[in-house]
Amino acid sequence: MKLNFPPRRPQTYISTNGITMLTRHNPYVILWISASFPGFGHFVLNMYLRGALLSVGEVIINTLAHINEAMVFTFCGQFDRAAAIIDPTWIYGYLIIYFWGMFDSYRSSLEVNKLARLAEMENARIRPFNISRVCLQYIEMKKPVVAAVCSFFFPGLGQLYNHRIDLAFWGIIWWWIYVGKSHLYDAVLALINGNIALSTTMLDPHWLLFMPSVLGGAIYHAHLQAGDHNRLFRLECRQYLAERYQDTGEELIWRKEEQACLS
Amino acid sequence: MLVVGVFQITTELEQVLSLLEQKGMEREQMVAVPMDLDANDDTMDPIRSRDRKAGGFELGMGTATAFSVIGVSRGFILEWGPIVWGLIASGIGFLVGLALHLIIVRVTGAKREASANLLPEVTVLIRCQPERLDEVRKLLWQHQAISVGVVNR
Repeated sequence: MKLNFPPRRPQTYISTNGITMLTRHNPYVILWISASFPGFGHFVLNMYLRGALLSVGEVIINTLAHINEAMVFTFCGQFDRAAAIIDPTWIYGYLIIYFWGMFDSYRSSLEVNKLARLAEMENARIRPFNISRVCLQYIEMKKPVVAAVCSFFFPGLGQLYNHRIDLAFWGIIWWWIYVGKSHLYDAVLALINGNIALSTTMLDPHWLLFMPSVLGGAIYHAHLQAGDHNRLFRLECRQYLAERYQDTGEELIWRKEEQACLS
Repeated sequence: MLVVGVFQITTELEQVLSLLEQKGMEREQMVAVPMDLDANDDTMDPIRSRDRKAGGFELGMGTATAFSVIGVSRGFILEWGPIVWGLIASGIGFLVGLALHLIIVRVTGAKREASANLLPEVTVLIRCQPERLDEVRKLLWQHQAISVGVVNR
């Protein structure tokens, strides 16, 4: 196929900040991740700005509307307390944006899948390297398990392992906020010291309830992206090898040296 | 002499090709053939790509997240507290996801594919003078060749 110059749809963009990738995803997985934390589905789709704004909106409005406390009461069977704590000023808008986020990430993944398929067939040359004033960026082979483990110990580190600077520090800063507000680490220490009752009273349910989704999302995202980087690395290498090391004439490879008129 | 080397796609592969060129081998004397590892080139298909094969990990993480939210919440009224119940619930959730994945694999009959370790992804052919054979072979072995062969003619 004749290549478009410049490419109509590049599969990647590599910048100081890391790699942004046009690739296919399972729409139901995207839908599920958006349900677990608004904006996270967009992160997986490489729509980082939309994801960041939706996720910060989620934290602010959830805090104002007391959604997480209401969830804790609901799962504990205290429905009257759940109903009492919800703030009606914020809950309606919260729900609309929550479901819109799910709808939008699902809808976007369907379209992105079509565009990614077209980009795969166009197979534009992938740029594997970026050098700039503040950072080196390159596509390399990564270990998805290592990425997952990094994000398990501290959400954001797996993203940093994947060289995605903005999302990594966005994740790290938010995790520190959750840790500070929920007192999770203090509560873990109390638990290790055998003081279960103290540990439970220390915890702030509102901020604690953000953490499972953030942790799960960060692990999943880091694991997936590391694998996608590996595929990109293979793809780029194949393009390069085919471009540079297939110019030979048949006689230069298959005939004996003396017949092949080599220097 | 024709030297044949089989490699995985790594940065070392590019290094060895560049080194050979630097040591005076003509680019026209080398061919690198990217190999497909199944009937459809799996590198091109992100969904089916072995780089995306996560076993039950994907589904497991999804269910673990959901279960742990419930576990943490209920933990506030259970004896062991939210942290322990959150961990227990996420463990159970992960196993549930894993089991679901295994059932889906069984029902849809998706076959397990070979892992990405040491699959021959690129074949390199190098035509060289007999006196340079050892040098070329050594370079290939030093750069993570999976296997190296020589055609003696």
